[in-house]
Amino acid sequence: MNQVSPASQAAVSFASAFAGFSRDRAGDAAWLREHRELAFADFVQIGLPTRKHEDWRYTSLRSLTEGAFSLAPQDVVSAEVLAPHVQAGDITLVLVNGRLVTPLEQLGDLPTGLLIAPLADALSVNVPAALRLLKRYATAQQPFSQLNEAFLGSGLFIEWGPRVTCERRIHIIHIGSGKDRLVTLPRHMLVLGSEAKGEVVETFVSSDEGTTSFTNTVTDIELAAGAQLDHQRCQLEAPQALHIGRVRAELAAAAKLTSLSLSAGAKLARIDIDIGLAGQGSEVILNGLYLTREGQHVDHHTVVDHQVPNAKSRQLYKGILDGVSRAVFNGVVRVRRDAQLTQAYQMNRNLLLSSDAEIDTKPELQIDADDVKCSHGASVGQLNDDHLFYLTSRGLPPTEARRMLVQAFADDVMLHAPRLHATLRPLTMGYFL
Amino acid sequence: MLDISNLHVTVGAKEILKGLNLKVNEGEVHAIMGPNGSGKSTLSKVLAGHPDYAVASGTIHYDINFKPKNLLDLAPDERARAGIFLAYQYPVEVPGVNNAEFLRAAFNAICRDQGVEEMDPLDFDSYLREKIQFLGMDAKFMDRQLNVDFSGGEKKRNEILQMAVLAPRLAILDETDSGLDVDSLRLVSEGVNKLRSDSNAVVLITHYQRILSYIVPDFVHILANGQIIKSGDKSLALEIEERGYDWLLN
Repeated sequence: MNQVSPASQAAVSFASAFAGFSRDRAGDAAWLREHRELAFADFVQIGLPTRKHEDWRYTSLRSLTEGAFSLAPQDVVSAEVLAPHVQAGDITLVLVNGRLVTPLEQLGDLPTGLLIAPLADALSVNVPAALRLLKRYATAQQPFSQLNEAFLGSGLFIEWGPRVTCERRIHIIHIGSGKDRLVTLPRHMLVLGSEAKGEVVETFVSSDEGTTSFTNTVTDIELAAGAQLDHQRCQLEAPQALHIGRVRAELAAAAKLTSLSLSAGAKLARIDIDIGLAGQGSEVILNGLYLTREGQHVDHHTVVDHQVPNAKSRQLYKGILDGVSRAVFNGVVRVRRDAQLTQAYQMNRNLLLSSDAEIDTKPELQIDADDVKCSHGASVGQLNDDHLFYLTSRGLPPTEARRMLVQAFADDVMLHAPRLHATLRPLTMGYFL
Repeated sequence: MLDISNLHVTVGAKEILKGLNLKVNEGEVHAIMGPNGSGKSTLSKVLAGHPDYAVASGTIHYDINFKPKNLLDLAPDERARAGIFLAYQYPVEVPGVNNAEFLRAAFNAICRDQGVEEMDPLDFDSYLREKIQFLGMDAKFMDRQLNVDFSGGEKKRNEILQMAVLAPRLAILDETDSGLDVDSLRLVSEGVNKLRSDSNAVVLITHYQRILSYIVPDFVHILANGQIIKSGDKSLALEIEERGYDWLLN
């Protein structure tokens, strides 16, 4: 195994899926086919990262090299799989194995100026924002973004026109279906015009608890001046699933992004959140909660790039770890030389419920401006004995007291997304103990 | 209902209680007074079942269904569900746990144990509001996190509210009066008095006589150096107020 280079591993695992995909999409525009070919070549050249890469130091991708993946086929799922996640009032969009199965004409009345389309359609008619986003990240040298790019064509393009407000939550439910080593590579683009306002939730679930499928997803977000987006990402895949996701966002002046990343499923989950604060007065709030149990590994990497003066960022990531499990939090805050009066705050707190759980937390502040307010902190601890005694001495059985304290630790993050919290609370309540 | 006999308790390597005897019957209020370090708080923690306090010898019997049971066989939560309540000297702040939700969970845990139907959130809310009014407290208390950022007086009042809600048979108040201003002391004491009945008992641990003019005890015990060295009626407390503890110790 050691002699095989990361590049050839990458080719072995995904070459046949890519060849099949290219044949199926032979009718696509020449530029798009070429774009994919280049991206795949890039992916193979970069290769699968190993733990020698600083960015992957704590996270092994061995599971990805244990055999080739096929592109997940078209499939349907039963209503029971969906039911726990569907909420009345939402604009619900269901993707099964990366393919949209919700008929868009059934969405009912959407606000004027809100466009929801399959990304493939947006690309085929050259929607400017879609092309702009492709160009913006074309030079990204992350292997999994390039892999996703090579399979570009599934996923959604959603655009809010200037000053368009959509009060209804847009809920994108990704369902991975099938048992085998199937790969799904959806790409979404969320484009908000100036002063537009929206809320998008992405939920990732598996229809089969035994699946070893691999989800490699990228969501690109663009907020024009004064736009506001609440983006929540909720990873609840099956225990043996592999999940690699990236959220990239760029914020213009006075734009505001609130992001939540909840990760409770999958054997291996790696989530990268890259935020460019490109406009003065822009603000990003990044919240995260990861729950790991026996055999799980979750890795969050956040990068907040303060490119201009007067922008704010605030991060709160919390983790609850049980069994033999591991979590990684790596948070980069970059403050460019011109980005005076930046306010950046980062906090990572971890609750270890088992002595076999391990957390690697690493804040990275790279500050080149001199008039800034930046702070960061990290903590790792166990349930507080005094708290436990207080609760039990009022009659709560110890398991109930523990659950209440664990829930309280999680609520701190989840209360930022009250509606998601309401649907997920039974899940997180049952997750431990 | 409570019978403590020749109780010896150690904390770490140190013996704190050295042969303590105490009997409490239904309907009685016992005040336990004593100088600092005499073992007053240790007694309360042992009764609640705090794991840091080890009983070296002696017995504690507590009546459950009219039969004396060995209290030391019961875990802290079992003791609470059997009607023992400790109002803490320093109530712990528990971030993220909602005051009302916690109280409902505790209340329902007791209901389950006693085979009584649990109360749903709406019914519990009215029950709680009734108690809050009864104690002259602010309803805003309920939506706050358990004791978090409560003032000293608010914490003590929250303990008394918990007591009112859980309706214990044996309430142990550990220096509930310390750190209270006169108004808070009066409110807390009124709360305790309203809860007194023929079927429950109160053990009131205090350093000062002050609270005893609001909650009048049937018995006053002086705890010193790990033993009860003198017992009497309420006049003993007045005597302590006047003369201090020294005359008893020497």
